[in-house]
Amino acid sequence: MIVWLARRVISGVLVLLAVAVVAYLLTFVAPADPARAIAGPNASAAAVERIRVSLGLDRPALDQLAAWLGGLLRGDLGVSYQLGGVRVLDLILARLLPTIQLALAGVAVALAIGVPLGVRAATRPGGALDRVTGILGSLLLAVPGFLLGILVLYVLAYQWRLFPLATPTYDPFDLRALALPALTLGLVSVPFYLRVTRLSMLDELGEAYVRTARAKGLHPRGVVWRHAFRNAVLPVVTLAGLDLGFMLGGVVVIESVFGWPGIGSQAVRAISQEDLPVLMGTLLFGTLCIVVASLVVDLVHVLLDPRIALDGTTETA
Amino acid sequence: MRSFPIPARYAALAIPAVLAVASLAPTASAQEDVAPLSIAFASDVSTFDPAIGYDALSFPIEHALYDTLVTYDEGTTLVPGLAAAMPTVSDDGLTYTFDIRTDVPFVRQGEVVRNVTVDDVVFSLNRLFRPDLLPTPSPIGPSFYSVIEGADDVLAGTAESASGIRAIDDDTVEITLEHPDRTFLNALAMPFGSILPEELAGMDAGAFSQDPVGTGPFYLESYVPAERIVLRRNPHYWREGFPKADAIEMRLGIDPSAQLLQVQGGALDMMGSNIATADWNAVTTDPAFADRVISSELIATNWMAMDTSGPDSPFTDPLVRRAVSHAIDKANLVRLQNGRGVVAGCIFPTQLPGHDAACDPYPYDEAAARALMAEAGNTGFSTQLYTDTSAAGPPAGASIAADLAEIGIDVEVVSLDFGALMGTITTPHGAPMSLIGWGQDFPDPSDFVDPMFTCATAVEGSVNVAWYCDRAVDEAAAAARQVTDLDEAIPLYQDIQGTIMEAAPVVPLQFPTQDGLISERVTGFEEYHPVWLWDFATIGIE
Amino acid sequence: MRAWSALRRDPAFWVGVALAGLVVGASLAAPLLAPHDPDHAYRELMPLDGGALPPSATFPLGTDPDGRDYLSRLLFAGRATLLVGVGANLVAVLLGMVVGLVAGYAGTLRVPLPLGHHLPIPVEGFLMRVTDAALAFPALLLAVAASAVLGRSLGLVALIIAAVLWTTTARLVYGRVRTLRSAAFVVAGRALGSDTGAILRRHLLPFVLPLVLVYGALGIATTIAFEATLSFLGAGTPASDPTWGRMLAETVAWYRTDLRLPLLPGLAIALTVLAFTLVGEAARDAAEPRTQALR
Repeated sequence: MIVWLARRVISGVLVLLAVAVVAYLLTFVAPADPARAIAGPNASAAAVERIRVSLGLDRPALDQLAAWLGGLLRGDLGVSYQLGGVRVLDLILARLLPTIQLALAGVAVALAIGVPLGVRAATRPGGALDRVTGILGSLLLAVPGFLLGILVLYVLAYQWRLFPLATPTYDPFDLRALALPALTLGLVSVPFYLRVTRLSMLDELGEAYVRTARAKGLHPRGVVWRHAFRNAVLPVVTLAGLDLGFMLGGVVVIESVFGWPGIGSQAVRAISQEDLPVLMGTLLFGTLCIVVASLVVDLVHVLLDPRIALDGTTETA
Repeated sequence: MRSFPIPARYAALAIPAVLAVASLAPTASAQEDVAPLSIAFASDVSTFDPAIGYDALSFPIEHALYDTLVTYDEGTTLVPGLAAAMPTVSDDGLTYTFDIRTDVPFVRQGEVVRNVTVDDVVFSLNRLFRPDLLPTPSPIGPSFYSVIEGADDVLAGTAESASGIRAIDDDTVEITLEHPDRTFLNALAMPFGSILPEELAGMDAGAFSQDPVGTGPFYLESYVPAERIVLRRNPHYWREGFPKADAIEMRLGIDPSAQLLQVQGGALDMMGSNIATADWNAVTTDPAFADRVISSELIATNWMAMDTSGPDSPFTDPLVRRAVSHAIDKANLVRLQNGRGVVAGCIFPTQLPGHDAACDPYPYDEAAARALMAEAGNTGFSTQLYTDTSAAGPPAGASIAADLAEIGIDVEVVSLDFGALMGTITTPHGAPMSLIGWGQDFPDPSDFVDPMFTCATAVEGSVNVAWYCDRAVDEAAAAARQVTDLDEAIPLYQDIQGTIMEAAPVVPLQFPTQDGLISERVTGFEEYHPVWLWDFATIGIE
Repeated sequence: MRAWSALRRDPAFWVGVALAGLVVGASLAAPLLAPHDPDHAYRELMPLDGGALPPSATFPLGTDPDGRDYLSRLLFAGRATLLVGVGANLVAVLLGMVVGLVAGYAGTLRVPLPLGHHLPIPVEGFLMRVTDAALAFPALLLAVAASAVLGRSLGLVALIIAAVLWTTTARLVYGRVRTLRSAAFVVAGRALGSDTGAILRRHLLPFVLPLVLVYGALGIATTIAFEATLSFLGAGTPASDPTWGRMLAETVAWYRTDLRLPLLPGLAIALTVLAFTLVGEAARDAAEPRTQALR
C-alpha cells in the first residue's frame, strides 16, 4: 500500500515536472518579446531593457528554466506580465472559490440528470429510452459549451428574465447567478455520466446475484436500485472525481461565456493577452488538480474494492 | 502592465477584496439612492500610476483620478486644470509660467491628505524622466517632454531635477523649453503630466499603483485585478458641480456581445467596447434601442502598412506601393463594419486639425493599379498580411487579399492575437504588410507624423511598421512642430502628408468610429469625448 | 459473425449508414455540388449595413457576411470537418490501440542477458504511466496555448486532438487485452511457438477491433465539439480552411441578427454526429453479447 502510494505520488510529480517544462517551452517559442509587450508601443530601449532584466529574460534559457522550476518548489509561480506584477499564485487563489463552486454544482447537475437516465436505459438495453438517450447524448456531446451557454443566457436570462445577466460582484450565496453556468456545465457533461452509468449497470445486471434476486421475485425496481446500482456506483464516482479534478483547473469556455470569475476565464484572458506567467501557472495548477483527483479516486477504489491489485494500473477510464 | 515583485500586502488585498465587497454590498446599496454608473471593458488595467499607463483604458481612468496643469474642455480646446489659468508664454515661445492652484487637496479614500504645492509639480514632472523609478522608468512618457530644458540630464541620471522646471514662488512654476514646441501644452494635458503628492508617489510606481492618490474628480475605492474597479466621488473636488456621478463601477474582461446584452437587459449602463459587427443590425433596427446608440468619429486612422525598406520586402518600389494603394476597395472594408466609419483618403482623420477632405491620391481604381504594376515591371509575387484576431481583422484581411489577387499579388492573411501581432510587426521587417490603427495621443497633426513616419522611429518596438525613413519628412516635421500657431502649422502638415502619401508607405483605409449602447439612466453623454472617450466627471446617472 | 447478422437486421444501422454516406459523399463531391467558388465574395451584391444575403435562387442557403455563398462554404468545410473529426480520431484510435495492445499483452518483458541473467523491462507499467500522464494534461488550455504560440493549421489541430484522445482508447484496449492474455487460445498460441506479433495480430486484434471501431465512431462527436471550442477560443483551424465547428464559432455572435448563420453549420454537425452515432450504437449493441442475452 505504502509502496503503491509512493509510486503514484512520484509519477504525479513527474507529470507535473513534464507539464512545467512544456509550459516553459511554450513561452520560449512565443513570438512576442514579453519585455517589449509590457513596455508598450514606442517605448524607450532603456525601459525595455530594465523590464527584461527585472524579469530575468536576459539570462540564458537554462538559467531561466531552473529559476522557474526553483520558484515552483517554493510555491512561487511568478508574477503576471499584464496586471501590474500581481503574483500568479494570488490570482489563482483569488479565483479558486468560484471555480470550486461551479465545478461542484456542474457535477451535481450532471449526476442528477445522467445517473437516473443511465440506470433506466440499462434496465431495458436496446429499448426506446436507451436508443433515444444514446442518440440525444451523442448529439449533446457534439454541442460545444459556448453554444449552449450563449443560448441559455439569451433565452433564460435575457428574454425570460429568470436569471441575472451579469454578476459584477461574486457572491458565493447568490445561487441564481450560479444557476446558468452550472446548468450549462452540467448539461454538456451529462452524456459522459449517462454512458458510464449505463455501461456499469449493464455489467452488474448481468451478474449472477441480480438474476438470483430477480428469480427470488424481488421487486424489479428494488433489485435495480438497491442491489445493482449500489455495486455499479463506483465507476460513476470515479468519473465524478476525475471530472472535478479537470474542472478545478478551470472551466475554460463556460466561465468565459458567463463572465464567471474563475480560473478558466482568467486563463482565456491570459492567452489572449499573452500573459504567459498566468497561463503557465494555470496549466500547472490544472495538472496538479487532475493528478490529485486521480490519486484520490484510485485511493477510494482501493479502499472500497480490495480485489483491485495494487500494481498501480487501476482502471479509471 | 508592469512586472515587478509586489509587497506581500497585495495578497491580503486580492483575496478578501472579493469577499469584503460581497458582504458589504447590502449596506452600501442601502446608503445610496442610485446604483453606481457601471461600464464594462473587454480589457484589463495594468497600472494606476500615470507615469506608466499608456493605453486606451488607462488614460480615461487616470484622467478621473488625477489632474494635469492644463486639460481639455468637452472638445479639444485646452483649458486650465491644476493651473489657475492658462500659462503665460514668453515671446520667444520658450518659457511657460504656471500659476498653480495650491488650495486643491490630494484625497485618499475620500480623506484630505494635504494641499498641492509647487514642489509636487516639479517632482511629478521630473519623476517621468527618472531612471531610478521602480520597477521601470516611464516607458514612453519622456518622449513627450524631452523638449524641456535639462530633461536629458535627468534621463541620464546626472540630475534629479531638470533645469527647465523651476518653482519660482509658492504658487508659480516656470518651465523652459530648449526650442519652441506647439504641442508642449498638449503633452502636459496627457495623464503623464498628472500632479502627484511627492511623499506618497515616491519612486516606486508599483507601490503607488496600489494606493494611488490624486486631486481628480474620483478616488480609487477598490480594485480586484482583472475583475472590477470602483471609483468613488471625491467630496473635496475643486471643480464646482463635478463629478456628476457618485461612483463608477468598471467591470473588466467582459466581451462586447455580453456588454451589449447586459445594457439591453438593464444590467449595465455603458459599453466600453464597440458594438460588435454581428450585433449592429439587430440593435440599430430595434426602436427600443436605436436612439440609445452613441456613435462618434474618433481621432484615429486605420491603415495597412507595407515594409518600405526591408531587404526581402516586395514593397521597396514606390510604384508597387502606389499600385497596392489603388487596388484596395476601402468601401468594402467600411461595409464589413456595417457602414460605420469613413473611407480614408489620406492619413489625418476627419476630427484632427489639418484633415483635408480633398486629399485622396489613390482612389479605388483597378486599372490604375495594374498600370502601375506594369510600369514597375512587376508581374506579381506572394506575400503575407498580418492582422489581429478581432472580429474585424481577418475579414478585412481577406477582403484586401482578394483585391490584391486582382493585380497579381498573392496574399496570405496571418491573424495573431494582439500581443503576438505587435511583437511580430514591430520587429524590424518582421511583416511585409500589416493592418494597424493609430489613435491620437493629443489632437495635433504632429501626432500622426512624428510617432510613425520619422527616421528616429524606424527602430524595433516602434509603430513605424512601414520602416519608412525620409530625411526631408524628418526636417519638415521638426520645423513644423516649432510653429507655435496651429493655423500656421496646418499647411505645413498638409505638405508633409502629401510627401508621405506620394511615397505611400501606408494605405489609409478607414477613419473608425466608437459606437456603444447606453442605458436609460445615463445623462450628459451624447458623444464620446474626442480625447478621453469617457470624461467620467461629466457623465451622470439617474 | 453473429454480430454482423444482428447488425444487418437493425434499421437504425442502415439509417446511420445512409446519413454518413450522405455527409461523406457531399463533402467529397463538394467541387461538383458547390454552385459557387466558396472563397469568392460577391461584394457588389451585398447590403451596405454589413449583413449577409438571405437564401435566394442564386444562393440557395444565402451568403455569409463577407458575401460568399454559404452552401458552397458548407460543402467544402465538410472536408476539413471530416478530416479533423474522422482523421484525428483514426490516428488517436490507432495509437491508443497499439499502446493498449502492447501494454496489455507484454506485461514485463524479460530481455535475456549473457550469463543467464534477464533484464526486466516493465513495458506495461511504463506505457500505462505515460497514458496516465497524458490524461493529466489540461488538454484544452494546452491546445489553445500551443496553437496561439505555434500558429494555426489543420494538421496541428488534428494532431492536438489525436494527442488528447488516444488515452481513452489505450485504457479501453488495455483493459480488454489484460482479461484476454491468459485466455486459452492465447496461451495455446504462445505454447505453439507463435511469435508475439502474430499472437497480437491473429488472436487479440479481432477481439479488440470492434470495440475500438465503435468507440472511434462515438468519439467523432467529442472531436467535432472540441475543435469548435478551440476555434471559439481563437485557436482551431485556420480561417482559410474552415470546419463546421469553426463556422459555428465564427458566426455564433450573429445569433440575434441572422440565426441562419450559426444554425446551418450546427445542423451539419448534428447530422454528422447522428449518422456516426447510429452506426456506432448499433454496432456496439450487436457486439455486446450480454445486451443480446438480456433482450
